[in-house]
Amino acid sequence: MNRFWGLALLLSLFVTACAAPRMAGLSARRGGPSLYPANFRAQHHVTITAGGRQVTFTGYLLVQQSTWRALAFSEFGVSLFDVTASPGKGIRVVKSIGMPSSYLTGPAADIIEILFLPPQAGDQVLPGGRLQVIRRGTVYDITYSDYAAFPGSEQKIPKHILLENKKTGFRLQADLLKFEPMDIPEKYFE
Amino acid sequence: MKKSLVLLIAFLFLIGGRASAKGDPTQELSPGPKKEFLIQLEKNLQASRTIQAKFTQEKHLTLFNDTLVSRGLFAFAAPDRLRWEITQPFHSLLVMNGRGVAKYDFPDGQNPHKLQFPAADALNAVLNQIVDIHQGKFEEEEKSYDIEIVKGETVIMTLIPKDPKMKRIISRIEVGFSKALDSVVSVVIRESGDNWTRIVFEDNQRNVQLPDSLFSIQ
Repeated sequence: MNRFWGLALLLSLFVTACAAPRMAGLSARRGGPSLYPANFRAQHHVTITAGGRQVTFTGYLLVQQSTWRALAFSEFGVSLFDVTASPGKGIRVVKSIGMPSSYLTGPAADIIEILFLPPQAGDQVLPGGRLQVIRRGTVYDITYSDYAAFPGSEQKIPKHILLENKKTGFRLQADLLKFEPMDIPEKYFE
Repeated sequence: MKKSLVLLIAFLFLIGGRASAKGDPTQELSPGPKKEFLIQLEKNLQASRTIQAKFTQEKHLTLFNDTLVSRGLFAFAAPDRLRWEITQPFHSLLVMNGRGVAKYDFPDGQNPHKLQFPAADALNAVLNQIVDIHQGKFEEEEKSYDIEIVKGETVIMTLIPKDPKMKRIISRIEVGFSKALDSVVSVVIRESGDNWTRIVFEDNQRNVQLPDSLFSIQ
């Protein structure tokens, strides 16, 4: 009966199975060099693989310094989740279709911050431009590639991202569809 | 003084009433005419044994003053074969063939790669709903939705979820039909909050020969 609901719920159960729920907080950032400007909005086509199965969605991301908001949409445009985080208010789930808050505020938030915010102390740059980071005991290997220039950005931006947790077989690939360096109004994070 | 004020108010009501009647000549069908209308609409839509169209999907993020646009191709062959191919800004393909459903991406930009999708039944249900709407199977939809029909210059059918949980996610789905009432020209999915998605079908070709390969699942 609830067809969109069912699809989203199954997506969430699938993603949740990929990592144990853990609570996350906004860590203090070292403010090291970042691949991205401090303020931007971006749209990605995301494919997550776990246990040999894949789910895809469109990701929409707003970043203003350490404050961010991430949304995901299905093929037919239906919102799957909407999460926002700021140093003062922590991580907050604005909307989720059946996806556990603990997953969104935990592993999902970790991954967003690993990929798009400046690196933390202890994050390692490996040969070939790869990055290895550990968050709450989970090791992630990240490869950024296919860099391209975008209007308004002084640095080139990776059009392809691969994040892997080799222990569990979890894999996230993000292909950049749209990138705009811009100041994001504060009201967008409320 | 009082008389002139009453006249002024009456005048404003008349003007307002006329303006409203002229600008919004719509009519919501009551249950009797609605049932007859749905029967006729189903008959019209089911005359299309195949449909091929381009679509544009706009995801309106009202809060962020932004719109995400994707484009693609839609094909349908009665009774139960459907192809939903997004070509821009990324390439993705959904195919339903009877009870089978498959999803592909194109990692090298050309060759399809079949995804092992974990929720095939749910995806099949979503694609079946698209088929139901294009084929006018509204009795099926009435199990899950309250249906309202508004006739104006065009006909808009509104599907309102009966399940409160579903309604918290999708408040309504609005289906627009061609003037000849023989095809679907638009679908608007309104979510709770301000976000909504509009899918517009263009270059609708009905009853053209479609190759079986369009719907093959390998």
